[in-house]
Amino acid sequence: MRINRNINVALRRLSVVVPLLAICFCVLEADAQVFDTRKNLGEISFGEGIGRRAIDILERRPGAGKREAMDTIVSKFTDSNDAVTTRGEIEETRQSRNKLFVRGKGWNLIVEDDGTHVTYANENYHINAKEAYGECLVNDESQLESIARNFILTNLDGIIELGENERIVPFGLQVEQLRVRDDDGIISDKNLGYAVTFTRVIDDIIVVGKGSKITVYLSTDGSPYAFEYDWPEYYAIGESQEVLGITKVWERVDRYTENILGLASVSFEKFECGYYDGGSDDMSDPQIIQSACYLFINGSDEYRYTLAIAHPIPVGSNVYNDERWSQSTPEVLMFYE
Amino acid sequence: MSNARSILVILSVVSILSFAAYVPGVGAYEVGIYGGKYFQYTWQPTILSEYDRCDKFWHAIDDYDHIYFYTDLSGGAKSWIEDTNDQSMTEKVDIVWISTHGIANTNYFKLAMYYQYTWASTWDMRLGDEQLGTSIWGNYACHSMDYPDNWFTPLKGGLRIVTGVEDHAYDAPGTKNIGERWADLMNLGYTIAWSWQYAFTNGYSVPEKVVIVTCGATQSDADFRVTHMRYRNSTFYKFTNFPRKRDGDCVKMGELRYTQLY
Repeated sequence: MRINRNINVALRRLSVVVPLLAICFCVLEADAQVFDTRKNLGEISFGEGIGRRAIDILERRPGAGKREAMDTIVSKFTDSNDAVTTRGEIEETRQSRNKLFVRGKGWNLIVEDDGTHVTYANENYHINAKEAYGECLVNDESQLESIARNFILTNLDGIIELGENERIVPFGLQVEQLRVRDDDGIISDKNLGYAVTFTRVIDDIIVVGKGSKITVYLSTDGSPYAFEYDWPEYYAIGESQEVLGITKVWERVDRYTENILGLASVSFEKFECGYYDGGSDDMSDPQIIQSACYLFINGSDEYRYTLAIAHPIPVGSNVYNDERWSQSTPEVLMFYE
Repeated sequence: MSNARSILVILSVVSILSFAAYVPGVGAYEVGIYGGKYFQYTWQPTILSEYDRCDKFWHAIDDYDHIYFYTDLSGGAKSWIEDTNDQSMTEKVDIVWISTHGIANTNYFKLAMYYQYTWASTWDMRLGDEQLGTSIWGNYACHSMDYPDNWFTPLKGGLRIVTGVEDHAYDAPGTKNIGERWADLMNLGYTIAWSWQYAFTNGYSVPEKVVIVTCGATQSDADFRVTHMRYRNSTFYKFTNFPRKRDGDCVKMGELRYTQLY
């Protein structure tokens, strides 16, 4: 009981001290051009689909395995004095659900599936940075993109590798905010951190879905403190896939929303076409990478209740069956015709 | 459809019966899962990825904790969630994961139940003051945080923290493992809030705004709770170390938001 009382006293004291430190607000200057990839992708996809008559079919090359991936990450950051570090003693805590969990002082590492999906996070650093709030060292979006890209190129060198005709582009920016209400009820949002996501582009075709993504998390002092990637190596299997023209794509989308989902009307929030990679945890073997358009829609059924859906629809003339991608299976494909 | 519902109901019953033989380990919490995939006469659209999402949360959280119930939204679900019968189910667990449809206005947020036109409403929820007392409530439901102030009513019973989304919670293959990711990070000792946002930042983010709320007697108290509260692996900041805030001590809202700008 005494311990609990002491903890409660400590919590009360900290809850007073922390806000006193938060004396200024970090403001982020917008730079929509840096992050216009996704907006442009939406516009092109609506009008042209993928914009190609045919694409090369790719396959995810299986990773080296969880343990090898863990060893690579641990050895890469073992001498680091930055927020992302694996310095000191490490402990393998458990293996569960095809995941390997490793931890050190203040950080954790999760390696999933075949080792191509990795998460590292040192949240303690981020919390300390938040409590020392006032160092607004990041002031605009292009700076965030630059720091995150530099982290990938220098710190994840040898892990995030690009094949011929491949490049990475910024794909998303997320901001962490504490909503502050003053005594008059006026709301303002205080930036506490950021997450910048990149995707892969292959022969100028963007990869949609969870695969081929890297997210770097940054504190307001500009330090990366966490990252996650699902980053396989792809290779061409020597087959080509003819891609539907945009008219046929929309016919397929209409049939899917009407016949499969039973939606009487839909409104589109996003429509993104490219190579589809569902991520390391959601692919059948062999892990075929083919063309798809990702629908983000709000649909109403005959009773006018709405459902928000984000489903990838295959847009190849000949669709490769992926049992873990229900929209590509023969049972669903028959409704497209 | 009926088979799937039967399996869930059986799971729920088995889980409750197994509790009699369950000896909680040190640090093990009680967990409740409400998952609504089908709805009577399809009065709400079927949620295709629902069971995957609930199953994955279940298999992640039970690495350490005990599943007290895993049930669909039929039977007594509405009364188990709202006053005055929440002590018979919801209040017997520390953490609740619920995944279904949702609607909101400035007065309430409502969760769709299985039976036609039935909803569980925040207006009628007061959690954290009976039985074990629910501490953590995780919503995967559209509009659950359109009006975060709606959560004052449940929080005033002593519920410690609520997570949800503003606007849409998508039914998507990319959202199947959101509950699993949340549970994994919480179990590692990350804050409940950061774990929630990590769950959604899976590289192909949907939805675009995730929100976590707590309440306190003062704004600084509420802010501190939402930015520091953890599920386990923390000496000072485990949720059980944060005193419950009821009624007059629950007047200010701490609100963390993670917004996708692009």
